[in-house]
Amino acid sequence: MARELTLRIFRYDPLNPESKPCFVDYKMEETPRLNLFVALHRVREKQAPDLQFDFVCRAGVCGSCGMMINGRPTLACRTLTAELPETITLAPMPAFKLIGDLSVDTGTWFRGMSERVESWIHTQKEFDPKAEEQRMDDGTAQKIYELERCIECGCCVAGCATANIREDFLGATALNRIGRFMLDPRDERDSEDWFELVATDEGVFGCMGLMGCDDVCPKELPLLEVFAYMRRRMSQVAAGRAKADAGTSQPVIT
Amino acid sequence: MAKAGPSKEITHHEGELTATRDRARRQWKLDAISTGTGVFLALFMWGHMFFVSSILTGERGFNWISDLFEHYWLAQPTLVVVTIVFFVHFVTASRKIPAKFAERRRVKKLGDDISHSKWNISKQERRELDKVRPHKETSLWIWQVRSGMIILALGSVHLFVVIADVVQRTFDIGEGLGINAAETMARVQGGMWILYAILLYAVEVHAGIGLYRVTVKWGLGAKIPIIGSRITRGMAQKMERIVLWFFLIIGFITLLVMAGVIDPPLEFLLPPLPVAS
Ligand code: HEM
Ligand code: SF4
Ligand code: SF4
Ligand code: FES
Repeated sequence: MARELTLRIFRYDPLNPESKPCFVDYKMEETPRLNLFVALHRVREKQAPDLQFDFVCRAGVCGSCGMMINGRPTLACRTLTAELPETITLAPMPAFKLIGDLSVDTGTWFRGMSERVESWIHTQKEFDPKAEEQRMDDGTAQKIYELERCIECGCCVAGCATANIREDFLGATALNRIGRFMLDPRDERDSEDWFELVATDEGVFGCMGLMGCDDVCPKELPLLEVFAYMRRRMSQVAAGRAKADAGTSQPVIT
Repeated sequence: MAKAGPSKEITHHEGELTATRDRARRQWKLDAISTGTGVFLALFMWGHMFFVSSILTGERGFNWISDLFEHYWLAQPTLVVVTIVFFVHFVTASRKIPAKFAERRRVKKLGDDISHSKWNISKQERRELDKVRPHKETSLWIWQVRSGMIILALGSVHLFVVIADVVQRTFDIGEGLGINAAETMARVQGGMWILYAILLYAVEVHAGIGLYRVTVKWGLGAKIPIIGSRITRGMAQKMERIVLWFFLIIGFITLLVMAGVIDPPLEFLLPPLPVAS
């Protein structure tokens, strides 16, 4: 027998002064292999035409549909209702600006993040369009690719206790991005440059290591490993600098 | 913020650059100190457990070790260093505890929600999921904070008592007995066992979780020398559990001996001296 589902959805329109934040229940019959992407569209078609939520690819690729599903930040398009109990509570992700109902503005956040970590290759080399592309060994390329798989869904930020209570915290996806450029041999930023960006309370030493990010990342990025690598590398930098301070002009480990 | 490449000169005055670097340096230092002191204390507690459990061989072994330590001035400097490290760790590690109640509640709520508690998956599936993506970390951390607070309270009492003992012998005050089995056992039997039982449990839990977290935070993905494989979360968890139970069991047997509930199980190694008639 098909279950009757209750979608308990957070409703609030910040632009409408009469709107008050509340949860509204929508009932529907469960159909085989129903996922939340389809379920939410049914609600919008039949019951609440003004319901706001985001979807683009419905295949776990674009990162638009992150929301709190029974308290856990994850991609709605990849969540089957069969995995959930009959009452499904849907709320917008915290830590981002609310657009309305389930829709949040991850775009502005990610744009700011990219600017803050200067998410581009820093190089002094003149670009020569005619030259052959610079070669990179397979191992490095694969490592970088692994971290590049981030779809900017924001789940790791919503699931991070530190990001939830501290607005200035960079967040897992930003640290992951930094790790990606640290690994890239074409980026000329040196350890000292990285140090002041990540070795702070807003960076990796503000992270409490509660691992919410690693546990919710829908792309299963090795976030914790990236952080451990950063902590080690930053400590090498600090140790190298301590030596330099003491007079032996040892080069900083890179 | 980090600037390299062409934008360096434009965005930073020299002074500003030094200021952000110094700030980063300070914050790195504080984190490294809280981790370093934590690891130091955990290693010290293992050594400590080893020496205290000398009571398992009877009073003679215990007294021999404490006499040795105090006579050769090993106990005194260790006490000073450990007391200082204890408070430095408390101050630096507490930085990570959110100051507001609402923030602490938020941390707990997120942890509870993420752990699939309201997901309709079978127990077996949950166990399978836990294997790949275990989620106990938030509650582990909360217990680390709680056990830390217990250690702060009870550990201070314990440190005070031990310092008083050692000072008495070192400076020949009062009876000047120093640390000795008879007095320790009398204290334990007189009611202090409650304090020690709670302190023992809190310390082992705190050190176990702490070492696990240090491994995950700093070591994940690093190659283990000789064996050659990389450190994983599962590995660290297993290790933590073994160490935790090992020291908990030894600790509680030691406490039972001190409380006079059981006889020293290893007394045959060091039989008591015949009483001179
Ligand atoms: C004075 C009482 C103590 C308090 C209030 C306290 C508190 C804390 C707190 C809040 C943390 C978490 C820090 C973080 O998340 O980064 C921590 C970490 C730790 N503590 Fe303690 N602690 C105390 C005593 C001890 C003792 C006696 C030991 C040794 C047995 C110890 C070993 C550790 C270790 C190994 C860590 C892990 C460090 C890390 O995660 O970076 N602590 N402590
Ligand atoms: S490990 Fe760090 S970044 Fe990840 S959720 Fe925890 S505090 Fe946030
Ligand atoms: S790291 Fe994972 S959870 Fe975070 S934004 Fe990228 S894909 Fe999403
Ligand atoms: S709709 Fe693109 S990830 Fe869900």
